[in-house]
Amino acid sequence: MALIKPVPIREHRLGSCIAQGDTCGCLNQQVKGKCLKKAARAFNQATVCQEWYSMFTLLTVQNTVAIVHAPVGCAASGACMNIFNRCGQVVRGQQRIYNARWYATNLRETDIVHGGEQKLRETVKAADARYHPEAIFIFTSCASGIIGDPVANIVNELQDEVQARLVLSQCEGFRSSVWATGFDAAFHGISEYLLEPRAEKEPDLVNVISPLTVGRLDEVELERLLGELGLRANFIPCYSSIEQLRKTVSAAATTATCLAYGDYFARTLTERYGVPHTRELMPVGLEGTDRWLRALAALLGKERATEALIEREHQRVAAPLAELRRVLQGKRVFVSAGQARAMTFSLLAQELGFELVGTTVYHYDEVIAESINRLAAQSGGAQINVANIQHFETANALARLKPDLYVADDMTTCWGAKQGFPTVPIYDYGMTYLGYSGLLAIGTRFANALANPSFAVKLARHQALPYRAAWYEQNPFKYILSGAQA
Amino acid sequence: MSTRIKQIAIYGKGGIGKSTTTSNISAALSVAGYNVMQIGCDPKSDSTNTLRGGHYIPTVLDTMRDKHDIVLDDVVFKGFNGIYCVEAGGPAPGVGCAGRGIITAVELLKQLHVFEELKLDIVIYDVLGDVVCGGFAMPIREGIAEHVFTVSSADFMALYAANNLFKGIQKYSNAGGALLGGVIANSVNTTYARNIIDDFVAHTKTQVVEYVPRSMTVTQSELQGKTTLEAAPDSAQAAIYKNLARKIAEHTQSTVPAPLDTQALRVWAATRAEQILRIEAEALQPNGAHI
Repeated sequence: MALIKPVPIREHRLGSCIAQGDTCGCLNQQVKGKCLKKAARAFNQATVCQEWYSMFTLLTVQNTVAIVHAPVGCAASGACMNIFNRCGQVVRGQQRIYNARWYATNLRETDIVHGGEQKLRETVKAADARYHPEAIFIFTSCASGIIGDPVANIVNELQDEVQARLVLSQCEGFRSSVWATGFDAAFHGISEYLLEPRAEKEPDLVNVISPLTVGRLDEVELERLLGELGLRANFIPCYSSIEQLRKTVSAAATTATCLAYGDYFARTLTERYGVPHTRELMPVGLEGTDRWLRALAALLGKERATEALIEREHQRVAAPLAELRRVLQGKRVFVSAGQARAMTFSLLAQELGFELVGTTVYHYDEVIAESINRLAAQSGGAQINVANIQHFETANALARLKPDLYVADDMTTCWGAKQGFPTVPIYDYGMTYLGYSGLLAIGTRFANALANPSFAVKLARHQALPYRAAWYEQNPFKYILSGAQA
Repeated sequence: MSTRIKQIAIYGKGGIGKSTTTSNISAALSVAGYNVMQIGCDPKSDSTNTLRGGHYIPTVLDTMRDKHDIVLDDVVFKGFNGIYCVEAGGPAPGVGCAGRGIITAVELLKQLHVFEELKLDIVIYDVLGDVVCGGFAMPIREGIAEHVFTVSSADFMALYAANNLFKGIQKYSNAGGALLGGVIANSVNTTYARNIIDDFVAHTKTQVVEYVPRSMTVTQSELQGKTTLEAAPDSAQAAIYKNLARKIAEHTQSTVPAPLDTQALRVWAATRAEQILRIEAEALQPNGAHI
């Protein structure tokens, strides 16, 4: 087998950036004028490692083992992902619940000096002999990358010695400062090591690339909508089988519940196997779900059925939606999340009648350019912060903008709640937020949070934030360097 | 001898004669009555071979890989005239991280309190001198060695490596790192080679400690698996090493060098190259004049 090269990093592939602080309108003008200057930070508080996201993408695939070629700590996050894994199996009705199976090769001092090749070989063979998995996912790490362990060569050599299909994800943390590259590294592994062309086509099958943070309830909603169009959803890669991953090449089209997550794989399926894909970010909100369905319909020639479905769904949600809009009208909201989520929930907020005061988006690139344009049309004055979890900026921005409601994914929810702002997480946690049913569910959550903010209010009373008072008087984007400085 | 251990590091580009010079210095110091340890910090692990009859010793890093509880005798071996020999070792070519290996090996020696246990007077680190990463700077960081000497010929690449070493020394000089004792000019048999090194040390504000000529005695000794001090103790070359060793033993004041930046080094080298060409052209003149 030819040596597989690592996936291109998002900075190179999409020109992704992680530092901006501006208004939606100004950012949009710069994007449209093609003069968005790459910025950097003079101070970074935190970020997340790519390897984490690669594991996060593949750990729940059925009948597999994950091996992290790293010091043992790099695999510690598997414990947290395993909670998702177990709960996910429960809600999918599995009778017997399995733990995720993940190993670290436990690179220690002497392995760093002499190379960790032997340990990797032994671990792969042991995992194969012990579990007879269909596939073994191998993840590289900073340590193995710095010492230059020839992991791709080892994987090729080992393939002849083990029964499991070996899939390598080259996700050294230092390669990219955009952690979404970790998703790409995982999907690159699937496309390079697992996929093969298939003659048969499944004209009613739609690949739905969906991250672990989108729960089963949302899948049920999307299955319902696709079912009304005579389509079957192939949800990948979480909880899917190896066969589900392999048959993606036979599907009629690919879509995603989070395009920031599925972008690389969707493009790969199009470019290599001719499976077309949609470019809508997420089926969130009325307009967001309409667009998501219409994009798919356009690929599959199902426009008429889709328009009929949209009309039915609009009628179904019209009354409760009107009530929600009445309650939420004019409330000020701040959104903080990953690329697709931040954009679609900001647009949803507009749709529900909120005044959008600010958005924090974890990284910016062309994937969300069109959404920024739509956002700027109505909320041009809203603040936008491109920040890969820079809590100090979020805390400062929240303190200044004082929203009525803070909507965030789980990595940043605490900053709103600790300042006393009612906070709604937009994450699985057994809730639903996709499609038309999700719109009503999440809208109701917003209304409930506004109706009873006592949790956040009391939390703030007993909780001191870690930053000095003086920080809140300074420009939240003080440490963002642009132009020649960056 | 003194109660304080004198720790010095000898750097030089690979193949420049660094281990030969270091082993002869160790031998000369030992013959002069000092209790000496030589630590090879090069994955080749052959620094101490001529002190051990041409034989390799188990390296610290190989021993660490194979054994959990390491004691002093596992990694320290006696050589010529009672010199303690240690080889840090390193990974096989093309794998792992040699730089990290040096850090790991030196850390282990510190944990074992090797220097105190053996009541050493002088510890000499023989280090691959290109200082390509942080690991190779280990002996000059954190106050491990106090004085650094670099072995260099008049070749540009050797001086380039020396200049890189000076950059490393300068970087750590404010943080308790080692300072530069000077340059050991090796294989210097001609005036113009001597001039080149003299000019280099003048530009980088350091000094030549000793000029060591290329000598067949050294080669013959090494073929026997011995240092010149052992194989030909009364030779002129042995006298040069003894003199060098005496200077190093007596050396107390090291300084911060002034390395040339990359551009300045190129300009300097280009100027010297022109001079060499001129010298060679003049040398050829009498023979060619009558043609």
